[in-house]
Amino acid sequence: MGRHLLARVLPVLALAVSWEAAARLAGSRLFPPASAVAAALVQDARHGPLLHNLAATLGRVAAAFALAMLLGSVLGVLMGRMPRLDRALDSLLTGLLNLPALVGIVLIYVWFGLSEWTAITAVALNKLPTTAVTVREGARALDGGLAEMAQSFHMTRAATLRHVVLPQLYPYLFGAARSGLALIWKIVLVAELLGRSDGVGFQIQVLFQLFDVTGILAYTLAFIIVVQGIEWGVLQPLERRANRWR
Amino acid sequence: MEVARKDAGGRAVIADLRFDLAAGEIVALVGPSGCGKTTLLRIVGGLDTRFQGRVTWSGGAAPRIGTVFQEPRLLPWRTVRQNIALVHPPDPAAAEALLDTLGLAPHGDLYPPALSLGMARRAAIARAFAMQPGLLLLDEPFVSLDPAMAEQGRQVLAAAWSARRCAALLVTHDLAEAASLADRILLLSAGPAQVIQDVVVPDGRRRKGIAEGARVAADLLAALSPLRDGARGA
Repeated sequence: MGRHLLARVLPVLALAVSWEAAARLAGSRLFPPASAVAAALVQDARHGPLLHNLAATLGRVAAAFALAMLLGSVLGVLMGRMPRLDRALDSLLTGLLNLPALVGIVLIYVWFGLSEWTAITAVALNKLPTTAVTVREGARALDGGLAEMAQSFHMTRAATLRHVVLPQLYPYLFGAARSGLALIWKIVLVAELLGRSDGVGFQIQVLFQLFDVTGILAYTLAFIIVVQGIEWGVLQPLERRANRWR
Repeated sequence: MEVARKDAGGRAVIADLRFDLAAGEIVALVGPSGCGKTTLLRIVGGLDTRFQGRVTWSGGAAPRIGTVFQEPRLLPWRTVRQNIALVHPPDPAAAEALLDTLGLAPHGDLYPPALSLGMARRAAIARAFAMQPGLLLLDEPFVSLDPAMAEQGRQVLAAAWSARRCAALLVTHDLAEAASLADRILLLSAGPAQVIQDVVVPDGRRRKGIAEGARVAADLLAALSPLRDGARGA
């Protein structure tokens, strides 16, 4: 375990050290050293709006993620199990899948106004089709033999869903969750930049106008720490739990 | 049980097949592979309803039916114990007793991918018995096991059955296996499946192991030699 941790931490340390050295050599305001960024991070966290902005963004990410995963999974399962529905919605789904995020966000803002919910909906809309497509594959691959087994042993619908169907979908759901989180982080910032007055995306825009590279990097760093925390603290333990039997 | 006709892929797999089964009786269905034996079990088990004919039960309602599929069909993400506990209605005490009878007690907390095929098959048998069935359907429960494992499987099956006495339909292509487990043997013809012979295993020679089963099967074949072309079972 200690060795594994070391193997993870060492490259990060190496990157920080070479960043520090390179920035000190360059001596430019546009390329601040790691220590300055870390100091700015701590300073902004204690006295500035960083925590507020981070919380605002996190809230939006959580809401958009939940919405996209829930609706996308339901749609994916339905399309995977019902060939007629699949044929009817397939080109629509492909269209949505290829709609540029920016276009979707702008149109939703224009049509439904600038608000918390339009921002969340716009972000969710970008993730929903990829979830649906991934989960659809899982639903198509469901084992008919196990379904028959559940039927012949009179398992209830709820028990069948919990013990037979969902475990078969877990790998697809985890895949969708992981790639989805990565996508949603990025798109939430765009939605904030275009139509919110707080959040990391909004703040990055402010810092960009001030050419405050140290601030931008401090926000980026805070963001990366949070994402890693979620990966290690939530996604990986959940996945290990679901994969115990392998 | 009466199947007038069952079509699949445009041809009849079963035609004019009828037989009956008494409570507590083990009947083996023996026939060449691909003759519709599995389809027949699916019809009896209610998994296949698209056929012409009927399955009637003497009590009126269908009994509880426990099925042992050809593939064990255990949930790989649940332990053996959890798999057995998932049948409806669950009975934990009976499940433990079954694990014991079938020699699975030390492996109850393993996940199925860690089991050998023989153990997985026995777990599937335990699960079918766990729902306290009035009728047990067994589809080639010991196929592709080595002879020793298969014989062990047959013996624990016979032990579990003697403790619980339910009716059972056993599908197999192995006449010796049929003769070593069943009270009665139905020989089926190749598709469309029909019963060509209904023979009773003599009372004193039932469930005496595979060696005796093989002798019963040989005697049976000798007596039936004119019919052998239709049912090349063993």
